[in-house]
Amino acid sequence: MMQTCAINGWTLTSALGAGLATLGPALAARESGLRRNDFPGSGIDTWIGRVDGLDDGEALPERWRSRNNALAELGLAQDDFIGRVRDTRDRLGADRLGVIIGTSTSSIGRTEAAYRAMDNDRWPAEYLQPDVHQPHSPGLYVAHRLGITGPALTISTACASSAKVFASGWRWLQSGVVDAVVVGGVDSLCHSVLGGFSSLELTSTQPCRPFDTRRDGISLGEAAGFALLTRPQDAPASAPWLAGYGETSDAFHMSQPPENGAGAEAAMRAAIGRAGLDAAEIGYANLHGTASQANDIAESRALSRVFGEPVPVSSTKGWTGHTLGAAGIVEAVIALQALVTGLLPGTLNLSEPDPGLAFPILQDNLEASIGAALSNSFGFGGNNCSLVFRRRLSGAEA
Amino acid sequence: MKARIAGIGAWGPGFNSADTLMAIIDSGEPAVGSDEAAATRPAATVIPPRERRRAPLSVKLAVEAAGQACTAAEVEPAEAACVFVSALGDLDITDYMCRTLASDTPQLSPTKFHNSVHNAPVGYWSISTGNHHAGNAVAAGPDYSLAASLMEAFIQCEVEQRPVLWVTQDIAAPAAYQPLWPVDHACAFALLLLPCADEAATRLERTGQPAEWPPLEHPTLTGLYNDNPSARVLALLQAHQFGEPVDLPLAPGQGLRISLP
Repeated sequence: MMQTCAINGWTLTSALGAGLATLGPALAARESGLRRNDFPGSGIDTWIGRVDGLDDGEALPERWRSRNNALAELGLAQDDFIGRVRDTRDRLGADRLGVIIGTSTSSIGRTEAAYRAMDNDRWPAEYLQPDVHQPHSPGLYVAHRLGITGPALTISTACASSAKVFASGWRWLQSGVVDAVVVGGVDSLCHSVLGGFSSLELTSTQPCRPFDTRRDGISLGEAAGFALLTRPQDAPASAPWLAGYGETSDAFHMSQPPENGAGAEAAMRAAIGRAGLDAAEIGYANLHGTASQANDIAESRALSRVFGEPVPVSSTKGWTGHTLGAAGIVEAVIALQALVTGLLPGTLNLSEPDPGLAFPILQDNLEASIGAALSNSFGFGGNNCSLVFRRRLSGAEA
Repeated sequence: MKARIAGIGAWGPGFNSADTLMAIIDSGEPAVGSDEAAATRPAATVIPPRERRRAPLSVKLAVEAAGQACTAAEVEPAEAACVFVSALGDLDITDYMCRTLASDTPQLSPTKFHNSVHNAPVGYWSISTGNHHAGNAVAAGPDYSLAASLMEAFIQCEVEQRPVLWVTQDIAAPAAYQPLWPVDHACAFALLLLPCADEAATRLERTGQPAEWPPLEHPTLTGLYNDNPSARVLALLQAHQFGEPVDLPLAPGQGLRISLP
């Protein structure tokens, strides 16, 4: 039975820039990608993590035109990800690869535009795009763009979406239905989420301050990230492993976590357990850490029960904003980079830790060689997913 | 990929259970009381009253079918991991949100917003039943959602060796969407899957060939089958009647063969 799968390449595009080359320096220099809300047509007083150089897909063929697909395209074009997939495709066959993409908004920004342009209750012809106005829009686009003809699925479980793609990808490999899977997440800023989170009074008028005593809400962001999962024997020896995942449901409330963080705790325990590790072997955890009042306290309580003793844990949403359906892949990539580079990012905008926190949160960046990293993603509907990545073990250890 | 289908749930125009659906299929006639079933929303009494008032039709449909499948399989609702499907999502809420945002008063209802997530049905289900297991919400487009999500559910059942509740629902499309998705009726279906490797299992395998949707000839169900992506599950019931495997589209150029026991 396959005990693990390899991460055979990854890439990330966020408010910090396109590709991994922009990520490390921004994290090291503690330069945030957040800016005062300048999303066209939005008057909401908040800060956002917007990706530069994106249009609404004007450069794409009309069939695919949307901001979300433009973001997917920009993301796919980084770090030779397309080339790496092409090599794998050429070796295994296009139909032996699958695609699983997480998103919360899909291309709804384009649907919003169709309604703005509506005349007599009808969308203008240019908006009649069946491959865009549906939840599977990013899964369709990524499969099309990468020339992958195997099964494709879009997972949309709010802010846990693109963490859960790793769990499903693992299972697809394990079952043998495919020999490699492109997983990832694409979520773009749009009025639905800016207006929606504002209606719930969850957006901050400041750059988000995770775990800070003065935190008062989230900063929304957008991002696209991808990873190629293969069996270990199909990956170079240097490729890290997806060692474990844990998926749980809070069964509590549609938009609030339980105060004790029980669902988050169960997800972390399941991921660490599946990886065959003790909690003490986790060298860094990237937290959900949205900077909402409820999440941060609940997550800290879950951490205290899982880890007991302090380990470096941080939220990087002060850099990228909360990228919703892309948060899972954003933070999975940051955890993978921590594993590979030894740069453990602290928590931007955390200067006065909330005295009510049950677990210490890393403020400043740290340099440390670690063997395993965890990433947490929790979403509306009480949907939780934790992932554990680790360095590849030697043959004897495996 | 193998699993045993241990329970079925169904709700749609003319049927309010798997039994009434089977009666329609067998007789070719609308079931007794079908007008009532078509005209009303499912009661979805599993949802606590306070949440039920806020729950949109998409949620009530999914929860109703889900509950039926668990009851039929005699599996506790809290025990199954969940794969909930909607090819098009809640188009009523999308229509509301986009209309509101395009209007002069673009303030969104917070309840409508949190109900807008694709995982609202599985969220309500997990809250209502105390289910702490993995809850997924997926889509693969009108043509491929059925096979791709069944594949996902079967794999999860087999790899995790756990009951999996697969639920699909799609609602009628509002006017603005009709040129793209001419869906006229809402419906929901659920299958409770149990790990199984013997001859009682339903088997899924990739064919490596393109597949087309098989036609469904029926006096009252053909329209629903043709326009509602969730109703494509009727192809499985038809195959069961014929006693033959059926190939369904899984992806462009790819089919999934489903062999029922």
